[in-house]
Amino acid sequence: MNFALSTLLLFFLLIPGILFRRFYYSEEFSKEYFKETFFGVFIATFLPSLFFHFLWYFLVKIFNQEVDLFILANILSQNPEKSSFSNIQQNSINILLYNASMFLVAGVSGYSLKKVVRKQKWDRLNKFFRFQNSWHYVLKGEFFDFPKADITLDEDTVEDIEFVFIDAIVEINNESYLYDGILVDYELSNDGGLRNISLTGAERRNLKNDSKIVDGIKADNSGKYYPIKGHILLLKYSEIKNLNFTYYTLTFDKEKGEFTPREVE
Amino acid sequence: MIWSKLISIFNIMSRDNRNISKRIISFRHSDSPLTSKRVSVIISNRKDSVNLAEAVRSLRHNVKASFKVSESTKNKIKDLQKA
Repeated sequence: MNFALSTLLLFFLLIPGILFRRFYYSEEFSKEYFKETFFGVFIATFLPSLFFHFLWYFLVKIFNQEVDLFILANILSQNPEKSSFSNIQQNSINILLYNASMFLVAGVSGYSLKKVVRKQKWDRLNKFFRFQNSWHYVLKGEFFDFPKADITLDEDTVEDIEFVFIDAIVEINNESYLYDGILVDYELSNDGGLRNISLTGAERRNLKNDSKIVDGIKADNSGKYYPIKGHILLLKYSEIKNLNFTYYTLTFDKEKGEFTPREVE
Repeated sequence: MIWSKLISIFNIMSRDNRNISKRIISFRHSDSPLTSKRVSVIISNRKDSVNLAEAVRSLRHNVKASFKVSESTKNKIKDLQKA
């Protein structure tokens, strides 16, 4: 058996699965592509490959073509017959079209399946489809739709969440500061953790200046806040001690022409 | 029936994502944004963005806070509604 050739062929046979998986874990879930174990990757690549090869094996018969497995086995043998290589040479265009179409469909299928899973919210409703990017579900409030979530939305839906307000405690020179603002962006690290968050309309105050609560009523401490000038404040996750998320929607008063924020319920 | 089911799944021609006050996921835009379209317009304007954040802070002190957006933001939101 020619090991170099069989290894190359094995890789070639796995390409549909590789493409399917690469496009399934795309865009917001692209980091997950690199996260799985070798065994996990192998299975997630091998099974779709097997499926597409099986499908194409029968589909080509519609076009009066046939995949001759004997030739495939023969070129992998120790003494391949010359006729096998001649056959491949003669049908090179068909082989190219066969593989190119399979690769294209595998990639498009992976991408489309991810879109369907997201559109139909299967990843929120069923753990089997859930992506490992847990920050995505927290930062966008999609965890409210998890069947096992302890807190759910009674009046609003996840789609009603219009923005997320964040409070983050950051330690600077042994003093803790509370930063707050509207979440506008986030970035994930390669291991799927959070790398940084970006806030706009941010302010900060020393944690010592907490509101005093008298008779259950929170005293106004807005004077203790220091407004941070600038468009975006970027906070490194590695420097954040705690994060608090509050999900808001807006109501618009047409008569007054005013917007009022309201927590989703 | 199969066709209508396919349409509902893929929702390629969906008008839902034109709703400016919701973060609707469609087949084409399966990655929901962090903010709705109108909030995106509001926070694009520095002054309105600060006003929105201030309104949230007031709300946290049990004060119902409303704010008006600037004329340019108002027009942009109107344009979004028309689109």
